[in-house]
Amino acid sequence: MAKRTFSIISNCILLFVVFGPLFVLIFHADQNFIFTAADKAALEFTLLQASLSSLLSVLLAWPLALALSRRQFKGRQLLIVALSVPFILPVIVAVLGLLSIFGHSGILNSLLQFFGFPILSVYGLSGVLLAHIFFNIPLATRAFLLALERRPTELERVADGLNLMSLTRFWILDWPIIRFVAPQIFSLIFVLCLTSFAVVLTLGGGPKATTLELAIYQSFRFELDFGRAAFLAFIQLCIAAFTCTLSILIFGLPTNFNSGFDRPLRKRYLSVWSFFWDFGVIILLGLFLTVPLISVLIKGIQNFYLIENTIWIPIINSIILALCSALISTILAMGFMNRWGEVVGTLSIAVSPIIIGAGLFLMVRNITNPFEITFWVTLTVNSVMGLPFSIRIMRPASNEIISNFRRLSHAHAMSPYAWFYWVYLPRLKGALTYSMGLVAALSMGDLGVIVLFGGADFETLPLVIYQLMSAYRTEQAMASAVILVSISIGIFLIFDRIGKTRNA
Amino acid sequence: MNPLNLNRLEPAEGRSRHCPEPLSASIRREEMFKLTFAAGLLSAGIVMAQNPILTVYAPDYFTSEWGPGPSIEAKFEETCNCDLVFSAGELLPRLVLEGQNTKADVVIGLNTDITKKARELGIFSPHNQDNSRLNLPVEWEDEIFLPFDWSYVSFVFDTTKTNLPNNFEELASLPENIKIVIQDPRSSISGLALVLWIKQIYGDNAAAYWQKLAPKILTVTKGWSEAYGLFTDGEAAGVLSFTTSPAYHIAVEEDNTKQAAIFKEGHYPFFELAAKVKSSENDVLSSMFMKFILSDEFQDLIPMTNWSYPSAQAVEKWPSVFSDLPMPQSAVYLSENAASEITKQAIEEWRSALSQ
Repeated sequence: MAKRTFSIISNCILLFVVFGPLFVLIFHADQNFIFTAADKAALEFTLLQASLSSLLSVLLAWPLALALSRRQFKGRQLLIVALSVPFILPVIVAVLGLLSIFGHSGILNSLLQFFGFPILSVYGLSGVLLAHIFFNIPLATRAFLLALERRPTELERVADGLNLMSLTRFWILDWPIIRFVAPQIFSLIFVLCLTSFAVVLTLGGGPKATTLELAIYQSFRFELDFGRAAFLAFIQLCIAAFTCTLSILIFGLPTNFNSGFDRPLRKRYLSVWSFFWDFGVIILLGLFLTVPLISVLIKGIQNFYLIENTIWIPIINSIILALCSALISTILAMGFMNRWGEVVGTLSIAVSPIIIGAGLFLMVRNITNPFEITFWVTLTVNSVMGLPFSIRIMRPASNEIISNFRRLSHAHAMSPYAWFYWVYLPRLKGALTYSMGLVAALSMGDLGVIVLFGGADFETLPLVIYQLMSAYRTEQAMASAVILVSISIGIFLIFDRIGKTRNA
Repeated sequence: MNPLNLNRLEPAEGRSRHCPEPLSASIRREEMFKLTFAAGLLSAGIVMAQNPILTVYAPDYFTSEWGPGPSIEAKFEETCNCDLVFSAGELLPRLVLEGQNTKADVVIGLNTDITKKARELGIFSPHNQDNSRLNLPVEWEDEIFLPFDWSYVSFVFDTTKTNLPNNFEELASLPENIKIVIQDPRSSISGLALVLWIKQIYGDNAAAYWQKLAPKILTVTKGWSEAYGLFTDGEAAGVLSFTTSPAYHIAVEEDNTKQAAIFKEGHYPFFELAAKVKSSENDVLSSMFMKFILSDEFQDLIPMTNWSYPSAQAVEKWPSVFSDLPMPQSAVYLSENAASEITKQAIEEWRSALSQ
């Protein structure tokens, strides 16, 4: 009962924050529901790049996750942590990192030129995909890896004992995981790419690579046509809702593994061929994901001397914001622990922050001036934005606990609170802290609504980086970005450590 | 205190790496500490309430530590007996959302290309300043919007990589490996300025010119800072920016290699404007601020913090870094009505030419 009430409350909060602003905005001004030829072109390109980006990310992440799950090597943990970084970098910094490798004057082209080959241009659809894969493989890999680690090791032993052929083995052991996780992750990445705009434009090389989000931004900022902006945002929302429903409700099937005894697998029977394959995958994708980061790090560290004392305040602001968002997001996510919840929860990132910000303003302007409560507005939006991530991390774990222990606790006639405190929470701890770590890191790096709601009195680190970039100070911005990333990783690791401590 | 920060007390030209920070930075820093420890729990308005407050809406780059905002605030507060509070963020969308309830007394940082929309909102009142005091490349007759700085839109190049083109044709026929980055006219005001500039010069042939220029364009970015970042990062040899941009590199980085190309056809001037909000209850203060904008105290601060020309000063008063910059021969200016008439078509021509 309590669970149900909580679920209803969190759904209401989400609907209030996501749909409220959208509809208020649509009905606020003149309704301009015209869909131009340029919009159509933008929509087509948006769908193309988002589907391809998410498909490729998922396809590439699977072998990487599999390789990471069955190989132990020095630096594995570090690599897994480093995998979360692209995701939290401010967009422009990540783009500069990527371009230092793949760009017109990047390392790759310098090498090609040195050996007398023609220069390869990254700009175009390939560039968009490259960037989106770079941002999203890590997310997909982590999701697969978590699922693989939860798979009872007994299954592998039995498979080894039966000497199953690789295809059969894949069908019985791996496919259920893919079937469960891939649609979840596909839909999440799809929605993330759907609303991507600065990256798509920059790496897409021109107006051919225009997404709907640009049209929303243009209507909002330049044409002051809020009705149209909200209308386009609504179309975007419908696409996201359709994709999520399709992938999660129709293609997503829960795994039907029974529970194991949490015993480690001491010996694996793996072929030599798979050894080369696994390390090939790890090295190739590992390099792809880490070299741009290393380039960002080098550029940033070189310029550390430019950093000024005043950066402490935005740092503290950002940390407070990140921790609060992580907490709220994770608690809210517990109300979405079913398939519908997952679909609904994903919609929060399908509406651009600028629309949410503007709509929220209209909703609360009679009560207070939201520009005076920047912190609360930003916190609300960040928490809701973190929701899809929290849900995806915690739902598999939550399902498993419920299916494995529900009957046992019924048999013991446990009260709901005892169940929650003694059974549910301790077992969810790993997923819970990972979710908090990830949302905190995300929130750290998010510029979000603060651009609209401004910040003379409330500045965050991403905002400062943005300001530095617009004051010619690219180098100082890069240095600050390194600070941002270090703090994000720090928070992430602390949560990770908390998650791994044993329960009393 | 970082001892390096002390050199902000030196005159503008002598500056080395650490560049113009507001005189008031240390004061502001303490203030910010107090404020931010409340971390948003308190709004700024509650903390300081004695003096009358003048609320000025400004873009982020303007109010940031590295922009002109903080030093302007300090200078104005010396004389006004008031509390100038900058509120950063989007300007027009915010004013529209707030409507008659806006807290703004003054808005600073608008551009000529959106003044038509802004004027139609009917929320601004005349600035009541003498336009003849302005020193601009065009005759300024606007009673509502008052320019506080300006610059010419221009392509800035890394001269170690290429020679400067002298006109649009030379720009389009630069060597194959020399690329430029521009901004999207749909999301960036400087990108829009370029599209209007080319439309004004080429008229009906603008689409053809864009097609010719297309192979030179490495990519198009959302805003100025992304494009400029790509440029300073060495990804492109040239970038759409302003004739005054090299001043930053000369003054702060002692780098003379970044130069603006001056085109024979003339350049599109880019004005930044301030306006008084009609519903303001502080009419005396906001009038005082408009007057302050044209004063030397304000104008002196502009070049080295906003990296643009001051709007109401003779060239002799500019810092030498600025007066030494090459100046375009003529301005290709479009009135807001003329601009708004061709904007849609110019953007569409740009889009279809570059989409091929």
